[in-house]
Amino acid sequence: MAKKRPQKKRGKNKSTSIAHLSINQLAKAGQTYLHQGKFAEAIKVFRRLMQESKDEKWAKPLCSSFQGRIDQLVAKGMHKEALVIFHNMETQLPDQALDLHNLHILLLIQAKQTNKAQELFEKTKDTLSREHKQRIEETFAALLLSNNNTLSTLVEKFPPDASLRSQFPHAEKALRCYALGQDTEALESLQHIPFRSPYKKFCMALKGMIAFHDEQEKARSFFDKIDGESPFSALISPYLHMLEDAKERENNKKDLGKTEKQAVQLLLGLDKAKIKFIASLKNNAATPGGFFRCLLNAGTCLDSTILKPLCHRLLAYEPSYLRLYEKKFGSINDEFEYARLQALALEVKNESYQIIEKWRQACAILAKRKKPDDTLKIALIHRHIAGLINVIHGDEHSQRDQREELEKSLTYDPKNKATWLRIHQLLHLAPAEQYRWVNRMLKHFPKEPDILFLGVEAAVRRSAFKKASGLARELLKIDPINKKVRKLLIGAHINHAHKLAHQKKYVLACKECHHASAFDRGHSDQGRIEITHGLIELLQGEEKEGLALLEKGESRYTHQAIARFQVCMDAELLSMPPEWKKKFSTDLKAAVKKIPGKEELLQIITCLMDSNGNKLSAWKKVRVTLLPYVKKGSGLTFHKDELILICQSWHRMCEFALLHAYGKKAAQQWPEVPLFKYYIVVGKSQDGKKRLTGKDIEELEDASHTAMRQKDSATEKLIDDFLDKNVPADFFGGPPMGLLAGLFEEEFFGDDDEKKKPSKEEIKKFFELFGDF
Amino acid sequence: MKTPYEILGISEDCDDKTVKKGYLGMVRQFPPERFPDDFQRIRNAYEKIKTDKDRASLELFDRTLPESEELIRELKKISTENRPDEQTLQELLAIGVQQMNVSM
Repeated sequence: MAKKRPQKKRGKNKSTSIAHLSINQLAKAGQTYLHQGKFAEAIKVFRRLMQESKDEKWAKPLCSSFQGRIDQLVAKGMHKEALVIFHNMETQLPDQALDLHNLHILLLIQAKQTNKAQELFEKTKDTLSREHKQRIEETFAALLLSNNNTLSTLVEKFPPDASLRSQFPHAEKALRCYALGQDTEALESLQHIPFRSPYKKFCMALKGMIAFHDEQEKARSFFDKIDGESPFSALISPYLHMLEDAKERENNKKDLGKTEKQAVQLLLGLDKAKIKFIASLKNNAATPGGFFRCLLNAGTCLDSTILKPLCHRLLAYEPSYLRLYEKKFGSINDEFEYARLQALALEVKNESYQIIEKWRQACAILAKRKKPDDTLKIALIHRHIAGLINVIHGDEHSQRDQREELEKSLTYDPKNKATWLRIHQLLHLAPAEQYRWVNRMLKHFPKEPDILFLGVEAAVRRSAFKKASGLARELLKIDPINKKVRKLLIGAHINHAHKLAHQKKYVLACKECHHASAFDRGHSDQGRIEITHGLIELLQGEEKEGLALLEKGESRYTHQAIARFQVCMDAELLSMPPEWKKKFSTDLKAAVKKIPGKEELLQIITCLMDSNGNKLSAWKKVRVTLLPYVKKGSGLTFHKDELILICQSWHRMCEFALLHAYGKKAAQQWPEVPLFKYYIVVGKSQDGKKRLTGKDIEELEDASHTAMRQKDSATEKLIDDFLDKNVPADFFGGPPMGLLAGLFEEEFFGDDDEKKKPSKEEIKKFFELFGDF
Repeated sequence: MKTPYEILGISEDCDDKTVKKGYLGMVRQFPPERFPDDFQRIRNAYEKIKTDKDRASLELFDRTLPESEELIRELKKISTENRPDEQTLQELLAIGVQQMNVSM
């Protein structure tokens, strides 16, 4: 059975809506439609008016309605429909249509009835206005040059003497020559076309197009002569688009038609294959695989010198394309390169553990083939592995592994300072090993300022003052204005003087003081040189000279109390006779104020942290005078770093009550800093050697976790060590594992200088006590 | 997409001196006060290939994903300026006739 065709829904028949309108109403409606641009409706209304009223006055608005409708259809590209409307008008209004031959001819051209158009033009050309005739001829000129297959014989239909026919070969040749890049020939052909010609605007357009490739401003002046209504305006539109600035061009790109876009791309130098390739890139290159496939199909668009490295780089993202790659570009044939690509592919996939293994394999391949160029590559891969270990495991848990890789890299590239420094940094928790490392660095880089500086610092820490001063002097030769080194050097000389004075080598000790003075630039805190020198002179019995030097040294300090404190400390460190110490202590008492200033307190701390030798015992002798004074200082306002330094100093001097007071103050202000919590507990528990309470342990554990979260490994270690040593055995229901720490620390840290092995008796005692656990 | 060598306009078998020369040449062309973004790009490229170690490191570990957009821009740049063929010009003329406004 035949399928029933669904009935089309029809809209309300508009003719019925005007069927019952009076003439006046129709006239009003017709004018409204005309004004609103509703020409189809206007035509119906005015046609009805013409029939009803038989009045010719409606012919003019009806003609306008027809023309409006024709324009509408032409604008939509409905040329045949427009021609039908024109024919309707011709039937309805034959008198008016007689004056519209120009419109008829153009409509015939656009409806592709070109022969009819030509015949009508020949018939009516004498009746046409000059303007209309020019316009039609110009349209015929563009039509002939567009070389549609159906037009091959059209040109011959024009009379032999017609400009359109006689000048056509020159115009056609000019266009062809331009397309082939033969600009001189094109211009020569154009010379055969006179100024008054249907091809006049074509000549302008082509001259502009030729100029476009060399002088764009000149091109613009030619294009300006072609109005937008001309049929040649489409020919120049891609060139006008190219003359716009880049931003404007990007905005207007969407307004271009397909052919115009193609012309623009051709103007940009993209041939059709490239245009296709670009389109495929835009559609498929969002993923590495898609991109890879596009590149493999690039054909002649890209040279293999560009293609090959691009595809090679994509192999890290698409290792499965290796076979395709090798098929196109030939085998890679390099074991190392395969391993490298696999390692990179694992990095892309973030396959942490396999990455390191793969890089190690790549390294082994390089090491096996023993090519001299590969040594740097091996070193770089070891460094890369160290970096990966750091990323995967974090700095604090993988120092040993990182160090191993970095040390391996140094065997292949020993001059890489950054690696030496990185290892030094990794050793910050193992001072003895770090010191040995610094010495190794100094052998490799004896003239490098940053390494010399590390050497000075390390030597001072190890009380190797002679070495420190030698290194500092070397450093000052390279960097004479380095204030920090100067200070370190002076400190090293003073401390060396102290050492010599203890050995009763006073002359040499004085010499050290002279050396220190040579580097003195008159800073107030460097009065210590004179103080030390003065004290050594006093030790030698040179009282007058010694006191004069002391006075000079003291006068260089801003605060007398600090100067006298320094004298007392140095007198203790130099083991001066008791009568001198008593005198200095009395002097200090007289100078100390009731409440310290912030600056004074910080200077005391600096003095405690700077001075070397047995500071603890020296401080213990001096502290009685200063204790009430520094206690009051906890009420002052300090910066976070200052408070850390103060707490460190009290910790070092075993001033636990002070540590508790200052730690508490600091923790109130910075509760997020775990170090202050640690100082509070240490201060509280160590002052009077109280046992740690459960709350203290919990707080310390909290602080340790916070430090871990904040990646503050130094604080974390500090807290954990303290907990190991101080948590009672029964707290976690097990033996105090801290007792066994010495047993295993060497195994874990490899620092035989720092850790002491427990004796057999100690281990035996441990198992006797805790064997049941 | 552009490699540091391309950014500095030097070949891949260059030495430290050539890299520096290329860098300084580009900085002269794109001074930081006038072209801050271009300068940053040039600086980054220079840092990546400054020494033989940097260059070897780039060769070994670089896994920057090439960008198709950059390739398209490059394609447009390397293509020598051309002109439309005769057929395209004829098509444009035909469009001109079809799109012309008929009312005068």
